[in-house]
Amino acid sequence: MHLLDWIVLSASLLFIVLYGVWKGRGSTNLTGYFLANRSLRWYTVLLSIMATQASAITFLSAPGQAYVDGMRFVQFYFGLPIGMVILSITAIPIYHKLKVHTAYEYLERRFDLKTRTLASLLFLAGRGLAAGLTIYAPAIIFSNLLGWDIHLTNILVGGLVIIYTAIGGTKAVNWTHFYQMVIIMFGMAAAFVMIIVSLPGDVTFIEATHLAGKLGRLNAIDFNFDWNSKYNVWSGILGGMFLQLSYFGTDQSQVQRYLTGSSVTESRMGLLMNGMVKIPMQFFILYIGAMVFVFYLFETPPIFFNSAEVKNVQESRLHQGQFRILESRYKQAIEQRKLRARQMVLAMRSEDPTNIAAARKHLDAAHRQAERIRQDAIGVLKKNNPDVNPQDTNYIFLSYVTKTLPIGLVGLIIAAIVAASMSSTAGELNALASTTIVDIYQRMIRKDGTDGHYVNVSKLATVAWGIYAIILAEYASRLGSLIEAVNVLGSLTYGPILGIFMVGFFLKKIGSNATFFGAFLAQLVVVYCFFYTDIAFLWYNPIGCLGVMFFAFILSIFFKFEPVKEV
Amino acid sequence: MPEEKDNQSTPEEKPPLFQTWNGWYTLVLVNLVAMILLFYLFMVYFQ
Repeated sequence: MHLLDWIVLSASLLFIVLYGVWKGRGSTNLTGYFLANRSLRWYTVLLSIMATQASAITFLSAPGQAYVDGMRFVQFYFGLPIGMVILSITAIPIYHKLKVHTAYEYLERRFDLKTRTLASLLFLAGRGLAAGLTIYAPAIIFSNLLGWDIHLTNILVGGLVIIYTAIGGTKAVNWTHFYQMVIIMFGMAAAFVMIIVSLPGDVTFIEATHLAGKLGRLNAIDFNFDWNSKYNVWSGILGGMFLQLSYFGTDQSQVQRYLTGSSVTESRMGLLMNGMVKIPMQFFILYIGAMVFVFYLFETPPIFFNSAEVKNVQESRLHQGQFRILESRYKQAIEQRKLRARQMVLAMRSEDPTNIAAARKHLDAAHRQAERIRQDAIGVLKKNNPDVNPQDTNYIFLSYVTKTLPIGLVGLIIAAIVAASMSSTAGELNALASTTIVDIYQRMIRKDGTDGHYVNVSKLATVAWGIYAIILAEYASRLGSLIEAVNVLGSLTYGPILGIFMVGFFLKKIGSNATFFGAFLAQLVVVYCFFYTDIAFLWYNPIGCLGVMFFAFILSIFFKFEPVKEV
Repeated sequence: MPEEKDNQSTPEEKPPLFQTWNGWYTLVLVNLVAMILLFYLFMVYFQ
């Protein structure tokens, strides 16, 4: 990175931290510290929601996914607007009416303490781990591509987040989210413009889009219903809706964001606008990836975008020979693909369908040939290092940025990615602290503390969770399968937790025991689906949620004499 | 720079632009359908 890039990056991060500390000063009680005194307007709520959801990996991975697999990932978000409408009708009025600080407080009012404690502990376990990974995931990419020291990156990014999140609480988190989103969107828009500018001079923007479409990179919609397909319209709308309901309705890192709205209207508007703008934003990010793909139709892309692994194999006495041969064959295949891409552009200009079909066939064949050689090269990388991740999706966009974009802009885009990492981490630490203090400490350990005492222990809890996240990030590479196991566990519990809330909102005659044991049975069904079926991950959410509602309804016949609390 | 608003509002207040919240809910859902349709047309046109 050039000095100017470092200046842009450092200035952006310094501004965020100082602004957060300044903006967050003066909270004297838990409502001030964790909910910004419920004083924020809908657009601050909206940007805070978006900044919490969009981690650095969103901006690194999504363009890479479009490069490799096309834009079908956008369908994952189709359930989001429906989820926002449902939560605006159900959760927001109830949370505001009860003036809760966390989503889990509602569970005690509606059911009992054990249900509240279970949900809050599951959140703390899952989100605590996620906070570590949110710091680690971009750091490993920066380390491999830019040579940054991974330990220092973890400590620096985590440390900066701790400073303003602990000092300023939610006020600092939400207000810095506002400017972090501005930096992120400005950075992505600049990247998009530069990609279009860096296309060959004689290839127009429309022709570039046609090329992406003809090589399957604009496959944003798939109406075919398939239980085993990860992304199609139906899994996105139905499975995605339950996932988004769970994330936005029951995950404190999001609930806390919209509880800061000054009224039901402000919170609702924040969520509903998120339902309107999230999908176009994701489409735009994926479209950037499709355009990076077109850029590399006229340039030579690396055979594998994770350059650290390529360097390893190039230095390996055992595999360097085989890898060099594949590199040489890959370059030839790419030259052929460049030629075919040019012919495709000329064919499109001729507007002759026969010409276009023939050119497309040749371009397809050249692309497949290059891809076959690339896969062989990945096979050699695997032989050289069995632990290597054969997916280089997360490296594609940053590799393009660092090798192609001008000085200054590289710094801005890296600042955008670091800002995304910080914004997600801040939201997570803030929510972990609020759940620890409100649902555990204040409820079960010390009920008679002063406002000042609770604010002080909340700051300590934020620092403690921050240090825990940094330690986890430092050891993340060694945890390996443990992380995957806990991540799987987290995704398996999302549906049943949502089910508990849905019983609370909609099945008002069902009491705590029927719901608690109904959730247990539904969890068993989800675990069965995970181990013994090929059902795609998104469907676990509706299965878990509807399972709780079904079992709770059946069990309520047996628990018909238990008292039911009305909220 | 964004502004803060006093915490004076009540849950019953009317939504901006529409008479009831149903207007906003409909707008969000119609927007979703329109986006799916647009993305589909975009995909087909450039294929």
